[in-house]
Amino acid sequence: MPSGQPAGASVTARRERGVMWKLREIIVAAILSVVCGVIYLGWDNLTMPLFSSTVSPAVQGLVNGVWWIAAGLVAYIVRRPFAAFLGGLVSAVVEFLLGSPYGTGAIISGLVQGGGAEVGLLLGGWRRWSLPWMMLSGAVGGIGNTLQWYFQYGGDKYSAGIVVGYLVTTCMSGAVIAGLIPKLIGDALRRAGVVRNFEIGRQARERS
Amino acid sequence: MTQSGTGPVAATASRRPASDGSTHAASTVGHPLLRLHGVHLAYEWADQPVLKDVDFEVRDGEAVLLLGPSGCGKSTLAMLCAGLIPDAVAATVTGEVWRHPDLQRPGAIGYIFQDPEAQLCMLRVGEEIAFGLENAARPRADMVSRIEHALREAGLCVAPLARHASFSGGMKQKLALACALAMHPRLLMADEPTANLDPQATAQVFRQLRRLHAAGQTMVIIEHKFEPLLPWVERVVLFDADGRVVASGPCRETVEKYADWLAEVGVLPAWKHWHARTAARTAGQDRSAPASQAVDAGDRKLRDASSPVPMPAAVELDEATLAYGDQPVWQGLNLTIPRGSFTAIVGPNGAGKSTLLLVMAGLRPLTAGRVALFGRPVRDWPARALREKVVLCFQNPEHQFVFERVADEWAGRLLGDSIPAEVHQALADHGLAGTAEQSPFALSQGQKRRLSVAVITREEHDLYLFDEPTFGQDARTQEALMERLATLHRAGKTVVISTHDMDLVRRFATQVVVLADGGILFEGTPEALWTRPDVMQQAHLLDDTAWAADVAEAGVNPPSGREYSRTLAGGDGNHEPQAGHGAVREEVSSDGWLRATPVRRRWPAPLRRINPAMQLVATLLAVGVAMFARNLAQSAATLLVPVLLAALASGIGPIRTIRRLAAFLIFYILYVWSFAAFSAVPPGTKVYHVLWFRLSWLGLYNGLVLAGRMLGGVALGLVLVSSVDISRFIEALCQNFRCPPKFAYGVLAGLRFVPLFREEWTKLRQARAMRGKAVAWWAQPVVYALPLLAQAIRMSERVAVAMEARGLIGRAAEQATARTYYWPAPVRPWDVAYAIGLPLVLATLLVVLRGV
Repeated sequence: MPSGQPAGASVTARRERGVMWKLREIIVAAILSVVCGVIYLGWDNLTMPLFSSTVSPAVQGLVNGVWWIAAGLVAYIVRRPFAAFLGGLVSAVVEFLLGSPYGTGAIISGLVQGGGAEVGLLLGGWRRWSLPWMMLSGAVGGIGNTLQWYFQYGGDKYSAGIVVGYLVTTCMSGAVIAGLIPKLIGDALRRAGVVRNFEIGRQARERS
Repeated sequence: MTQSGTGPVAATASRRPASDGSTHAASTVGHPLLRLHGVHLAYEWADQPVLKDVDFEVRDGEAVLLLGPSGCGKSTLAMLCAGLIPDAVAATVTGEVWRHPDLQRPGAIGYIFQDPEAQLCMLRVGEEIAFGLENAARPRADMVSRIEHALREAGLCVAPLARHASFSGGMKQKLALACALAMHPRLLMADEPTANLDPQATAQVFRQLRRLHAAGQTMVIIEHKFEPLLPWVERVVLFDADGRVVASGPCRETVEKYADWLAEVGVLPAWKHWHARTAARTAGQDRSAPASQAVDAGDRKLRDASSPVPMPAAVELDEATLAYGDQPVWQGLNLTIPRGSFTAIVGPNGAGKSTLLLVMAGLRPLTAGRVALFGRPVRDWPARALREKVVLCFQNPEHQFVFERVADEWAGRLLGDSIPAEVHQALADHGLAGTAEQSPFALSQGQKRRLSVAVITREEHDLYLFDEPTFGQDARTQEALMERLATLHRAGKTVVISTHDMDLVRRFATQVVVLADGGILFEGTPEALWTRPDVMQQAHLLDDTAWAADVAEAGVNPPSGREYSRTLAGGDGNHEPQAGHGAVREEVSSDGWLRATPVRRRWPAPLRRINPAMQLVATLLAVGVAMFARNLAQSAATLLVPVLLAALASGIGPIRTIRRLAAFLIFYILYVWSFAAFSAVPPGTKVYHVLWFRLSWLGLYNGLVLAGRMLGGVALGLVLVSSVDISRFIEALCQNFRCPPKFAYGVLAGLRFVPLFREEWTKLRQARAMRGKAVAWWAQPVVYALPLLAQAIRMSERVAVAMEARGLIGRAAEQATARTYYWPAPVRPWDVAYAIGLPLVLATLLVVLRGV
């Protein structure tokens, strides 16, 4: 028979504290990244025959934004520091694990694209989630992408005009595909009521 | 090891529970373990509190049953008792919550959740059970014996190295039970542990709970199918829909006293006649013909109305076979479903009932054989005509939602801003008043089901197929739903359902088809089925707890002492996954991390002995070094080194290495082409202008160099994936790099879902096709994003709560050093040598070959 002295303890109005990541936010980031990783894999195999081998790299940039959708989506829902980076990295790892033709290069893409998107959100102090900020984040992710392309994927073999063209189209693509679209998806999920336990839902309640 | 922990669990193995029917002695109930007084609880997003002024107590040694309609806050109360609210799930709690000091110990409160998929977070049985022990910082030596013991306690006869992804729902629930028992819980919470299980698996879980309780285990159970619990649970607490306690008292007496109220609020389905049957069961053990007691006059009338009509049958299957790959689900089915019948398809989990319905709906082609609908082969039906004739309602209503607003969903098109009055009226008729503007995904489970049924019955069809229509619904919704199906049937329509609910079969069906073991075991009237206990036994249809479990123990699932010691043999020692270990599952599903293809390890795999975290370091450094390959010789070297490693040291062998890399051949040919066609060249170089391409030999050379080193990166990844086990990798990250455990394990929990998404995707595609909203393949990612992500997010929340219930909370979640690890990850000299050596070899080669 346990001998512990029963002591009264009341639990009153305890609210979530601090800005630390919660476990469910980490898992949601991982699961969303898994979904995106699958999409990336399809995109890897789709874009190479359709774009990369048929048109100039300056135009190829237009399809790039897809590869860091996870960064914007995870960050927009979870709204924590380093959410974009985590989303970018985990989705790239999934793409790698599923057998991406880019192999370990995919992981580096995750680091630089997620890192770029994170820098965009950092500029807003991780507090601004309006459309312009999301698009900025997506565009900065494009800078990360261009850096990898230049140094690892042979971007330095092209003329300066092509390199600049690639940078511009990639950033445009990032702003729309990895900025605008994640916001639209996130807002649709908020209306569907499935993210009310997350920061996106909490902040929407506070505003209203 | 605490004294309170070992007592009850150790006793179970030797002690047989009291004989069937006798009530557990109340004298073993002791001092309070947990007390709630005047508790109010509200979630942040809700206007109304979930629990209102709740007083609740659990005493040592007691089994308490919580009953109430869906959404009454039973699960919330259980989570509050376990301390998951407000720590894991944010909510505002007022009032007094007192827990005995014994319950403060990590793992003192064990938890089993409803969804078998969403409460496991590792890949193999042993590491799954160890997860809670790790969080409680048990020494590793202790884990092995506890795992073995817990498996035996839970009645699960598998090796610790077995992967649980291929387990049935029942086995997964037993594994969840084993996970809780390994912690030696003072209090066990079971939140609808049998919701996803077939009758026999349900009976087995109940049986284990009963045994544990007889051995002194304190437990709180939430359960819709509570009848089998009545003989041995001491106390019941009844909740109303507003989250208030209505009554609390001795189990059987209280349920009998409040039977009418329970039926009224929808806890007890009116058709179940439960008192008659439970009374009969405890008194006479009359198991041979319970059907005669349950079928009342009204049912008979219904059946007589549907006597056979001489017309072509609604569905005819002729030697029908269906296989996934080369694994047959069922074969040689010959089945006729008469027009105007109400057919129930029953059988164990995984028998292929849903697939059979898909075949009948023309959504899945047969592997062999023929299927005809209304006398005409399915493939001869034009798609549109078939959709008008046949409709299928999916098990998960969300799969068939197409629109983002309930009103649009009902109308099947976008209605715009003004919703017509008749839509409001129609929704109200289906119990969906006031939801017109909401998102279908935001509805409650019951509302989602009502909406999905309303949508598919809106237009008239001749054959209605329902995949487990009552799944996860409370009695009230079940009742309304079945009434709707009965109405269709009375109107002369053909209705086919799949279900686990044998009461429902007895009450509504005119024909039963038992699908089990790859074929049809029985076809006939429900009455005839009830005279065939052999069939019911084989198809896991027996819901009589005591009998099913006795039979199971004697024959179907024989956990004899010797068998145990053999299957558990992998549970001690080093757990080194090896060839010839005898663990079949391991062989089937351990290729790479996320794919399921057969593996046979005939090639040496010394890399498997290298610390996984150090392998990651080696790979990343090597990828970095490889980026400096500038000429063809260097590029070839960065490709050859990892290819040789993969072929000779990772265990997959040369042939599979080549095959894996060859899969990327076309990709890399195109890659080289893009350089040959667009590369910048110095002035004076010969350039061939073809169309808009500017081909050059220099570009081709550049492309080959880059392709070589990129393919080298792919090969490095192949080495890593082939020689590292993902669970060990995660544990090594925590041990070697102090990665916060919640990040490492949280990400692993997410990665587990990759195979699940493939299934979800297929179901979404079929459900869309059913509603005539098929989507072109290129648009699928856009259209499916919302339902797929909604499902993923809900799943992740459940997984998170389950992981926190198992102790991944507080310091164990934040600090890698605050917990112990099942897979040790020492960093030995040769681990460091590999991490430095691999990039160093590549760098040396690059230097040597720089002038070539």
